[in-house]
Amino acid sequence: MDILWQRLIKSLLIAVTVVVALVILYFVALDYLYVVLGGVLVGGLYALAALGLALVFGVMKILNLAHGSMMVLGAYLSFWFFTLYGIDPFISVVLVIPILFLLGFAIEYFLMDKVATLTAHQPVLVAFGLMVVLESLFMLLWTADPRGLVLPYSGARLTVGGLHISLTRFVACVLSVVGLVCLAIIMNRTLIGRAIQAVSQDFKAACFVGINARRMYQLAFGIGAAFAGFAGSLISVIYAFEPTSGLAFVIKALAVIVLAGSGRISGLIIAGVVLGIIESVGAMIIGGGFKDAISFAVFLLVLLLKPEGLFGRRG
Amino acid sequence: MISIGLIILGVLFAAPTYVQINYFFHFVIILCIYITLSVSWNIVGGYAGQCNFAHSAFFGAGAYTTALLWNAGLLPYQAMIMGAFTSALLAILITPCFRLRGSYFVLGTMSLSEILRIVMLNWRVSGGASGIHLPVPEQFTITTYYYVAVVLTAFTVVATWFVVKGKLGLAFRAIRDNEVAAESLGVNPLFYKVISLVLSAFFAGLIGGFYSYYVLFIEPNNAFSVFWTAIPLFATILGGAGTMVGPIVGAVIYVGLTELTAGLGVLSLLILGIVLIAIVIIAPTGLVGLASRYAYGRRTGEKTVQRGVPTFIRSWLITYHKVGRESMTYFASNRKEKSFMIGETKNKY
Repeated sequence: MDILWQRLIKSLLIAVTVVVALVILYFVALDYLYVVLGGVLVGGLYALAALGLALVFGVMKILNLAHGSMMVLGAYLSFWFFTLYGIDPFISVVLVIPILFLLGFAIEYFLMDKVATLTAHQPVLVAFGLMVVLESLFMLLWTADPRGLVLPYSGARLTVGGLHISLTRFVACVLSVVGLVCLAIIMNRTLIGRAIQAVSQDFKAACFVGINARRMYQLAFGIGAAFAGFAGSLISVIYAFEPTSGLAFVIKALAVIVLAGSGRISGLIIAGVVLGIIESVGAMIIGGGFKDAISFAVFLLVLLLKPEGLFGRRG
Repeated sequence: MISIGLIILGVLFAAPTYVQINYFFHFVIILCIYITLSVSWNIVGGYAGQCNFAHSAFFGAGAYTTALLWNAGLLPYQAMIMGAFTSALLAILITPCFRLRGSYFVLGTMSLSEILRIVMLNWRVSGGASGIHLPVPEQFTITTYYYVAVVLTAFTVVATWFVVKGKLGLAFRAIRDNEVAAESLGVNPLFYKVISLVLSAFFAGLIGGFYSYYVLFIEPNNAFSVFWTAIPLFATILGGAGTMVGPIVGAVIYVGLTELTAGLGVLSLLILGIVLIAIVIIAPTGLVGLASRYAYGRRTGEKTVQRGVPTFIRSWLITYHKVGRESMTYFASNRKEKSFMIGETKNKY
């Protein structure tokens, strides 16, 4: 119980500091407040993008380089649903998630399963090949042009106390937080989630208590892919995307994971928001052209200087 | 093997007197660029076992330095050597990346080369996104380029051969196979990893400089493209990492494949990706590994089936062709217990 209280007080303290900082910004420098808010809203999406990757990496110890391309696939699918059938991207998420889940399950079943026990390089190489295959498929199906979704309400704003917030960004952020909470519930409360956790902790012991460990791998990979699709279809509303943007996405997701250090979902959310703020403030200070380089640099610096991340323990 | 290499080299040197088709020259030059890149990637990726994704950064650094220095008035060969040394310097500068292991090393080096690409895109001094145009050199014909490319490639292959056969190569392989054991025997892993990276970067920078002469126009998205990493990697894995012949065979097959499928456009990329996945799963030791396994089978009369081959083919081979059940891709015998190895093998980084 004590630990719970400590955690509660800690998070309350953080929340109060953040609110105070935002209020100060509101009165001192409104421009920066907008930049920071933009970072916070994007941060939720970053956390969602990182979630699937963190799940696969945590359970299977496989670095899925194709995660970013799966996100792009989700974006293209919602683009398709919108232009062909006029389904709103926030609704077609319900269709995109199962499709990506099946795809991820199949990829693990047919490809990753064969190399999961070999040396550390081989899964990465298979994932890299998968990335190339997906990118070329996107180019065949949707051409290399950058695409973006323009919804009827893309320009709509929420106005709170004189602050204007883009409606689509706000909804995307809320949905991604909902997605994060859903996965937390699945992982901690359901039998399958607990089995996956058991496999990630000790493969042998999980086998001994009768868990089908291979199937758990397949499920974990499928869930990871499903969340990639989820994040991708939310991203399609906000950013323009093209077949090759997968690499930038996956590096951003990795930057979030490395920043968070531990696999805890609250850590991922905070790290996502921190990365979003660093990126948008950095882009404002040194120029928008460097925006992608900032997340790469954050990733590299954290990895080299503080490899245990913000919330991890040195071990 | 050496005699075959000498014969090929002789044929390539004599060829311009008999064949005067521009396409042939172009083909051989492109082939030489990829062979050099693959062989140099193999030093660090195949022998030292560090899956380096910053190869495009070395290539691009060589290309840019050469182009800038040539525009500044240096002689071509001087500019090219300076480019190679700049790449080697860059390799020394990214030494901290060796603190990372396995997948993290892949990502660290990959993000480094992406950072370099973005910086070059936004940096005025090097021409930014519009790139650098080089003056067309009147004294060079395509035959000159051809000879330079062949000489550079031969130099790289021979130098790599001497490095790999000597004490350095032994140290590289020791680190690849077991870093802790190598360290316990007095091999400093960091030192030898850096040496391997510097050598690899030197050759990549050299051929990068040649590339900028040949194309006469470079821009960041091209010179620092991920493909300068991906293609050597593909060629090396296809041919067989950690062998001398592997990368060369792989590069020849790659260039041949792309020339054959050039009319297909994006489809050729798709085929490439599928072949990469298939090779990694079915023949992790590459074509050279497959050939030596075949030769071993012929010599001993023992038939084995590669692990990773789909189960239905495997069972068909075992039932109807009396193929042995255990494969010998890896000589370590404890890999038989497939499912129980994961916990131990994967926790090393």
